[in-house]
Amino acid sequence: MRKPELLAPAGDLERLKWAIDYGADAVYIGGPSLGLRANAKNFTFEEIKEGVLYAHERGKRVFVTINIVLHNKEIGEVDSTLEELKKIGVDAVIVSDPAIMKKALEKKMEVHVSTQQSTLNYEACKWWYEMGVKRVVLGREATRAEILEIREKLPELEIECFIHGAMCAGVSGRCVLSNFFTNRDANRGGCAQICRWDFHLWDGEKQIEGEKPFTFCSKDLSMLSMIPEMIFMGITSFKIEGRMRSIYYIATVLHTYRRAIDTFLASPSTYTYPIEYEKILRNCANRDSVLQFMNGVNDESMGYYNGREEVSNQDFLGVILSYDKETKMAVVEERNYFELGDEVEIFGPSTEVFSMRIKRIVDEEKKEITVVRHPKQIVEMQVDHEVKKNDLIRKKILN
Amino acid sequence: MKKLMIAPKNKNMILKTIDKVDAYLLGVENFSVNLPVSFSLKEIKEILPILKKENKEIFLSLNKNMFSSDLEPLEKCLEEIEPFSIDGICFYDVSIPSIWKRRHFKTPLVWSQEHFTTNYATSNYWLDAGVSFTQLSNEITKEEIAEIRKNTKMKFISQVFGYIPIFYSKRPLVKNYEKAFSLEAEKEIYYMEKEGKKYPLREQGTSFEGYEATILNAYLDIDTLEVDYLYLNSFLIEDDIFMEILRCYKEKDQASLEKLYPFSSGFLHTKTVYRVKDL
Repeated sequence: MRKPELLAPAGDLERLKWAIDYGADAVYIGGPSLGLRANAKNFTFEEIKEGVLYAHERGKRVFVTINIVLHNKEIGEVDSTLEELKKIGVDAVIVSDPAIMKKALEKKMEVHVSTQQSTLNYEACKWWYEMGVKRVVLGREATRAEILEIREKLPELEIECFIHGAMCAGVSGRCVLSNFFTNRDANRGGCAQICRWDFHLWDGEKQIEGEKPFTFCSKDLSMLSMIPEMIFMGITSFKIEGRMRSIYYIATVLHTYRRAIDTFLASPSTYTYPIEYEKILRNCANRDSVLQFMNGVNDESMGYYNGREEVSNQDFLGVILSYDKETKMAVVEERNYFELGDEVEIFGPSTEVFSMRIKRIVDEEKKEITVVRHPKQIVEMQVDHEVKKNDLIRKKILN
Repeated sequence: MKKLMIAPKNKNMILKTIDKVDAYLLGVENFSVNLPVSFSLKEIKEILPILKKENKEIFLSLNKNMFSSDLEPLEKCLEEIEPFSIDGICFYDVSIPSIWKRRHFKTPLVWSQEHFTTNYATSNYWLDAGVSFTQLSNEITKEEIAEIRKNTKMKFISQVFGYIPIFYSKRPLVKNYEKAFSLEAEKEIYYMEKEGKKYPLREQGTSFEGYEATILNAYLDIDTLEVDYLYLNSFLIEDDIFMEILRCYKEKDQASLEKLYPFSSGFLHTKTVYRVKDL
């Protein structure tokens, strides 16, 4: 049984480090240009260099997305961008455009075909493989049948599948709603998520009205329950979506999947599905998630038809900055309101989740306080169980 | 001299337009999306002699995303098409050039990855791979098209009239919505409305297509658009009106055309942006 790579998104250098620390085997990031998250912070070449160094020192890998749909004016940037990335020593580039793939391969760079190509069959995989690419990120519509057939017919090709995160309602690359509704180019990083808007639906002259408005909005993907099967299928890399997601989201999702994968691999015969993890994942994204296409299901359970509005998650309470073993006091930076008596959970890269009730808080002047309500406020909190820098505190989720 | 290409709705429309059209773009049953209709290979075989006799060019569009289960029938379909000696097969999914190369097929290929056909470097990649035509994206400007033309030896097809495909999904989004709220409607065509504009939707099984509300009518640009084929899509346009539009394009009757549909050039003169700060 091959151990799959756990691949995490990182929107900036800080998140890259958090992702590595929280269990990613590899991270994917956007460079200064030619990526699909034009409105994310993205990385400068200097930051990529620092990120690669940080990852390599820990035996991890860094992939850079060059998955823009090219227009003429960007053609000149391709060579220099790839050259710079090669010089830095990134481990692979994720590309949707074959002209860029060809250039990268000529430079002896490792190339992964982006999910933007929506590759869903072995003949298409064969085309990319014969071209020299090492890995194909399959389309999000791939079912078990596609994956197994590709695995069987092209055993040398690495296959990457999404396991968690938001889903496009459309086939990747075949949606330009954003272009026509907002003039922002969806395939060049400007997606305005029109699929989450509400619309009136008409059948000729007759309006079709459900209890809530019509929308394309899709639930998120979560493959947590299928981790063992996906490992058995021989999928090379398990990808988490979300380069614009928060540190808390990345840390929580990674922490959860890392444990599920490692627990299964340590003892497949005794592994039991950690159903309580579902609650953690659901809370942290604040969205429902389903298996989407994997089992061939394609019905109303995959979409949101409830007029939901996005609300921010308030579970994330703080970050541990340091811990004094003798006094058992942790220095904490606040992220959301908490107070004495709250039941909380703490977890970290090497800290298994545990829960506790907050029984003592002092401010920076060592004065006893009962509530912490200011964003990024620094306080000290009594924690009897040993914790470490960058462990996270959240509201109690597990029973 | 630019050629007029149409995607017809039925055989009757083919017969009625034969004196006005240079090339036909036909959908193929089970393998096409974003076209008015898909023909069976049997129907195509019947039409072929008529079109060939009139020296009309024929392009077949096999432009859906292919799943593993599609591969066997797809290869069989390509095998059947090969002796037709048609002018081109439009592809979106890379499985088609892959099979084409493995089987040493000779029918010319058309790179037709609708929103990706935006630059000359990628056109040249496909040219080197043996592909002969590019069906250009509707999201690029006229200047970009000219630059692409200048830098490649491909032949180019560009849509100038009709509804523009802007969304494709494998989710039956209307059916799912109706099921979620126990509604009863079993149509193929719907419209979704936002701010007074109605966007056509077509749902067939698990194939869901969305179209721009404004009909493209880029007549004013056809003389200066640097492409080989001007493509007119008849999808959802009444037959008689489409015939008249075709006549206007053929005979350069701007005054009559303007009365039928306002001129609209899509993105030919408008650059899309991708950074919010550039808006």
